[in-house]
Amino acid sequence: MRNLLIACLFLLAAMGLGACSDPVRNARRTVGVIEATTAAAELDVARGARTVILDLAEAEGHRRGAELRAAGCGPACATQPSTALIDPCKGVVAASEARLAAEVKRVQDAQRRADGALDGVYATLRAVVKFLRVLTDPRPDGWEATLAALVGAAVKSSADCAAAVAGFKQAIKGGAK
Amino acid sequence: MTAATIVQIVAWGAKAISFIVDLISKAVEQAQGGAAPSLDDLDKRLAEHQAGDAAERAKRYAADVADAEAKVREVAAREYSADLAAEIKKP
Repeated sequence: MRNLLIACLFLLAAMGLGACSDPVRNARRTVGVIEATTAAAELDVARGARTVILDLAEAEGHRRGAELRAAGCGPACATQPSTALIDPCKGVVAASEARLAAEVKRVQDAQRRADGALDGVYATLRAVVKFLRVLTDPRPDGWEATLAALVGAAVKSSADCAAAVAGFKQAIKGGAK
Repeated sequence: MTAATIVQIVAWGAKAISFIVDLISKAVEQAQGGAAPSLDDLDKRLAEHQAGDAAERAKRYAADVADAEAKVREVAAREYSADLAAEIKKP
């Protein structure tokens, strides 16, 4: 009888430990954590890019206003696009527009690269969830290896994405002057 | 001790152990960052990033450019006025 009690105890302990190390539950938890981290990074990238772009616009605005004044242009020139003006004011505004466009493009190119990496993470997370959805009972042979490979791909893409976001932050640093 | 008593004791013991294991499982889950989300929850969260993401992003990029252009004009006009006012004030 004592042996039976001990066996019950071991069985329950094994069930409890099994629940803690259930690959499906762990996969769901990993997907949840990566999704939350990626969503936060996405927000971070969008806000970071916008802040830098508006800072660039502020700096360019000061420069354009001063240049227009120096060129003897009227105050209305400051609020007009270059296409609505005539030289020399047209040239001043056109040059300013080109400078701003180049800087904004630089920031948005970096943003697009980071967004591409974020999309890659979401795709790997969807693959894990899709696999878990179609996982039948009884489970097919090798399901644990497949799940581990899918989760591994998600973790790797998340690491790649973190590097891409760090690269984005590095790339936009020059724009916040 | 009758067999029925032994069975009852074993049953109580099993319940007690099950309860303790459940507590330990929950503690381990908390330590690992909370309970695992359900597949429905994950589907919902991932769908938020899928629906019209490319179009949404293109809109956001365009809005940032438009806002930047508007800001340049606004700041340029302010700068121009400030420059002019400073010149007028000069003796």
